[in-house]
Amino acid sequence: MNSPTAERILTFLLMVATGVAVTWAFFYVSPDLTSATLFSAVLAYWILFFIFFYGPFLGMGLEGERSERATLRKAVGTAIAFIGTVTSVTLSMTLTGDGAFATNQEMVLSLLPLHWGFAWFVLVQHLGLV
Amino acid sequence: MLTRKLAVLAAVIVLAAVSVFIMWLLDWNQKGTLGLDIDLWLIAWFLALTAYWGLPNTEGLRVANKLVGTVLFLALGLGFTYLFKYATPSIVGGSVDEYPLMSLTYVAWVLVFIMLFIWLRNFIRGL
Repeated sequence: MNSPTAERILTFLLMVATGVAVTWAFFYVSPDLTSATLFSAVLAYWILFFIFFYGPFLGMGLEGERSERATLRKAVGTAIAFIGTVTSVTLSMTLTGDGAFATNQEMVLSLLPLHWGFAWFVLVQHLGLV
Repeated sequence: MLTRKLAVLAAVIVLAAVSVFIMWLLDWNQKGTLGLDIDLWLIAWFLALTAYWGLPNTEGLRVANKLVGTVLFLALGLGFTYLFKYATPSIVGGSVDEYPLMSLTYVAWVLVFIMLFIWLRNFIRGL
């Protein structure tokens, strides 16, 4: 197996594994989430996010520039997006209270950081930080 | 070019509306999720037509390949929706009958495969 193929397979496994891990982390902190009704959708959205994050956002598995400068830029972009996401989620929940976004409180808890995360990562990419 | 862009925008809106209508016909919508369904289908078809199909640019577009890919991500989404519908109770409990979020789950899995294809087509020619 040549190196690019191995990297792509590992990237794909990482996308799925991280999605599963985050889904389980949310189930662990909120027993209400361990219902059959939400598991599949939540899992799918987190896998979707990590395909975007590792693939189009970080460029893993793709041919591209590989320099220290590019790595540093990606690290800075990722850090800004993570801080933005945490701040936005905290502010959202503080200002409006839990469950103010939808009729299903569990979905808010699990998917709120995902939605804000997408918004921040797309913004950072749009600004050219990644 | 502006006309083409507007045509793509119209196609996205029509496809999203048709998708939501099909969800409604199948009784897959749950009360209160219609708004989420609409925005997620708009995102899905926007990604599919622009990032995956590459529209409005039609230069070098392999229509047959893209059509096969489109059918594939819709079918894979359906397969995973049903796979998890029946597998989930053994993973996290609950019942197969208590599964009101079919439309949201289906569009979620469709989005997963659209995004996966967008990533894969960078190194799989013709996808």
